[in-house]
Amino acid sequence: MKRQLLIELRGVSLDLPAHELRNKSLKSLVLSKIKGDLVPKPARRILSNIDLKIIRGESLSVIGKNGSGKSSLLRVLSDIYSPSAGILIGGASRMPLIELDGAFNGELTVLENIDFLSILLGIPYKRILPIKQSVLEFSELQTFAFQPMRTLSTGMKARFAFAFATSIESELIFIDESLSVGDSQFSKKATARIRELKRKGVTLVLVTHDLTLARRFTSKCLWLENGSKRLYGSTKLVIEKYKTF
Amino acid sequence: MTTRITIRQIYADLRLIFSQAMRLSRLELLQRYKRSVLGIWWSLLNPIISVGVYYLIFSEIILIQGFSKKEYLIYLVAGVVVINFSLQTITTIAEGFSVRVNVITRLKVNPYTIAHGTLGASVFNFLMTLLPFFILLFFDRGISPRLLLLFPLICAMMYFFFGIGLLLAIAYTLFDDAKAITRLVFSFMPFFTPVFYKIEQLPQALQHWITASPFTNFLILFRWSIGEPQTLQITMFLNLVLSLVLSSICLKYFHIKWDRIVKVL
Repeated sequence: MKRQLLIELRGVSLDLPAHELRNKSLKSLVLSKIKGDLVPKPARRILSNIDLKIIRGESLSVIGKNGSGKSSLLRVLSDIYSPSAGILIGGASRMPLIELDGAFNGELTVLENIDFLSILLGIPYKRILPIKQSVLEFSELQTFAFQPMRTLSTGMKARFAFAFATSIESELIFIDESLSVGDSQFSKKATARIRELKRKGVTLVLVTHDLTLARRFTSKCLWLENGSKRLYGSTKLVIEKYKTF
Repeated sequence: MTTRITIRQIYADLRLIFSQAMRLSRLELLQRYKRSVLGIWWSLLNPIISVGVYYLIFSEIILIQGFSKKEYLIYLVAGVVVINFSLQTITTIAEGFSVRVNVITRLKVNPYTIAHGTLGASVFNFLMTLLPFFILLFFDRGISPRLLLLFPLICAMMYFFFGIGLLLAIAYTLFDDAKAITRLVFSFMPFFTPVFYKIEQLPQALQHWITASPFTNFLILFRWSIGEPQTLQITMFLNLVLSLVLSSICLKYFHIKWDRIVKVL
């Protein structure tokens, strides 16, 4: 069977604006321009010259220390950030689960939040009802369907986020440290769902510090260090090297 | 390879955009008024209170000349309704992205979908406030055929506010004090637009500046459409076209800057 390429990164680099810019005020900008001491802040390089191929049905884990650029890579792969250099090829439908529990609207109810996120993802109205049923059933939040999101516990929100992300039909799913959500019973359920998605041919990209999880779910592994590719290969091999590092 | 865009495809896309905007507007309104005792009726009460206060000040204390009391009430309501719609729409579109930073940095979303939702909610509020106003107008002067022109005018206003709102969204993202500066400027805007007074009552030099403002232009065209005795000039239509061109430039600029906005957020 021909191996179908879903996403390819060729020499991708990502620069983010220097943090100081966020605190920049219009007043200080004008004053600096008048005084002539306006020094443009250099951008921070988050990812540097990454080459990566994601094949349909394969699963990939991304490991590395905090601040190594794992989540930023996920954002590039999810098309949230566009690369500052290099190219990203591939138009597969993608569903990122990047700290999704932070994306909810606290004032809206659980059901309204499903509506809200579905609209933003461009899901047609007709397809939302089955998603609602699936999310409520899987997250076991049926009795909280009409409660405002802000009244839910952190664990409940995480369960909802996982259920939502895995209820949307997509070819690729990106997961950022969220498999260990909720209690052990839910964790088992989440693991089973990931297996089911993999059986259906959904490609999984997992960003994690949990090496056991990476070994259990993925066949390929990318080790990032300071935004650069340190090693890429079979999960077993990369994890062995990572452990001895 | 070239992709042919068919009319059917354009229609389907527009239908999807409209449907998404409507659904998102509903959620936006739900969220906006959820903790308010009056709920959606607050959008009706708010301009009524403003008009009441302004009416008391300008017709009883400052004594604006050239109107009967009833004429002045209609003139004032039209002014308050239009300026509130203008400023609230621009501000809410501009704030929409900083409010939804958590969504924008976690999901691949179309920024225009977010802005369409906010715009839809503002238009709904505007139509709510127009309802009692039209009842007042109906009993005062009946229905004028000029009212038909309100539809294209409101569409033009929406397009203009959409572009300016998105331009301000860039400023809100890049500069921490942009919001405070905008609020300050906008708090003076009702006084620099003929909401309470007639433009002819101003000194000649000031008249030119006030007339050049797109807000004044929209307000004069609105008043004319509801049958107010306004003098229309060709420059007003030029001003209208210029406003729409300016909004298109803002939209283009936003489109170019969006990637940077997401990265700064």
